[in-house]
Amino acid sequence: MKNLLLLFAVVLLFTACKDSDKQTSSEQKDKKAVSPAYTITKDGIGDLKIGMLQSDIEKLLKQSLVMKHAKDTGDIWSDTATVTYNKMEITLYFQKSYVEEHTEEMELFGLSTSSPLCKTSTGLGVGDDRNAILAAYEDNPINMGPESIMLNDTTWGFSKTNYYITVSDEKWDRQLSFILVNKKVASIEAILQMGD
Amino acid sequence: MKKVFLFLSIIVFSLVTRAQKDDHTLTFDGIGELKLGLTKAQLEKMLNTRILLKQIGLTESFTETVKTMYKGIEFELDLMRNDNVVAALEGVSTTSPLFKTPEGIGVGSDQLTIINAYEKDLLIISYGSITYTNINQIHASIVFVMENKKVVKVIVEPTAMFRDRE
Repeated sequence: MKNLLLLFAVVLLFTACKDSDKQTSSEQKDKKAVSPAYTITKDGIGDLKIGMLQSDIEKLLKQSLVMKHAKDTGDIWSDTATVTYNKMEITLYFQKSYVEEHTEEMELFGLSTSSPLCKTSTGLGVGDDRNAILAAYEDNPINMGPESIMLNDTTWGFSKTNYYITVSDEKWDRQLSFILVNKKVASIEAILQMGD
Repeated sequence: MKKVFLFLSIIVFSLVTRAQKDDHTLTFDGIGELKLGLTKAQLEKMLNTRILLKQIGLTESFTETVKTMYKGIEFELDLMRNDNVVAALEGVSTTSPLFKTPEGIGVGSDQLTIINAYEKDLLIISYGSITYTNINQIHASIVFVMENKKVVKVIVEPTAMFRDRE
């Protein structure tokens, strides 16, 4: 009777482990099954690509962008706009194009989103933690640390709650940044890599 | 009683002296007694040997790396030409597992231990090394050279920002 019970316990444990494996692999499967329209890469999200001109984005979104500093006077060299694209709220970072023929045009140099719909090609998104990011990009150059915050007009300090993890690749042209708040991903950003 | 007290004092004194002699600290100031900024003359006195430069002073090069033994441990010294002295210690490295940071990190430590130990500081993980910079002491970095996710060498050197200022 004891042996039978033991056998039953072993079978039960084995089945539980199998189920748990199935769950993990299905979670992984879910993580990988992200539509390109919701995928953020270092180049952008869906059809919103870094390097696009403001007019191209307006054509894509079929709307005029409302720039944050539209009413400011003087020369504006960079600006932001928030749009809804594929049901995701996305902040677009623009700077004036350096290309001669587009001197008055703003060019997209980065974007960020906090939408849980948006995932990386490795399946990471809002709510994931530091170790998941490190495991997904273990072959990539990574910069990480507390976010810099402006304490006053002249002093910068480091945040106690916000943490960044920036993933680059061998091209060092664009990067993917994860902003973690209290150790969980709160937003993801794709941006042109700044020179040293 | 007096003799016992004297005996204990001698033991304590010798232990303290020994601890001071065997400095196995790995900090932003240097590795053990080899501190950044030491001049060539100070290093020669410590190492009890002459440092023969083949680049600095003889070529246009401002930097030179020399290998040396100190207390039976091998070190690489990165020397840099300076306006006031012939050369000074710009960086230092070793593969010895004896030297540890105050958090216990050194040769043999693994990647995750480093990341967990310095999660409030700046880390750059890049092609075989982890560079650790403390947010309150950004003048220097400790570079952990990695192989198979384990530290095989430690380097103390100025951060790029401070090196460029010089």
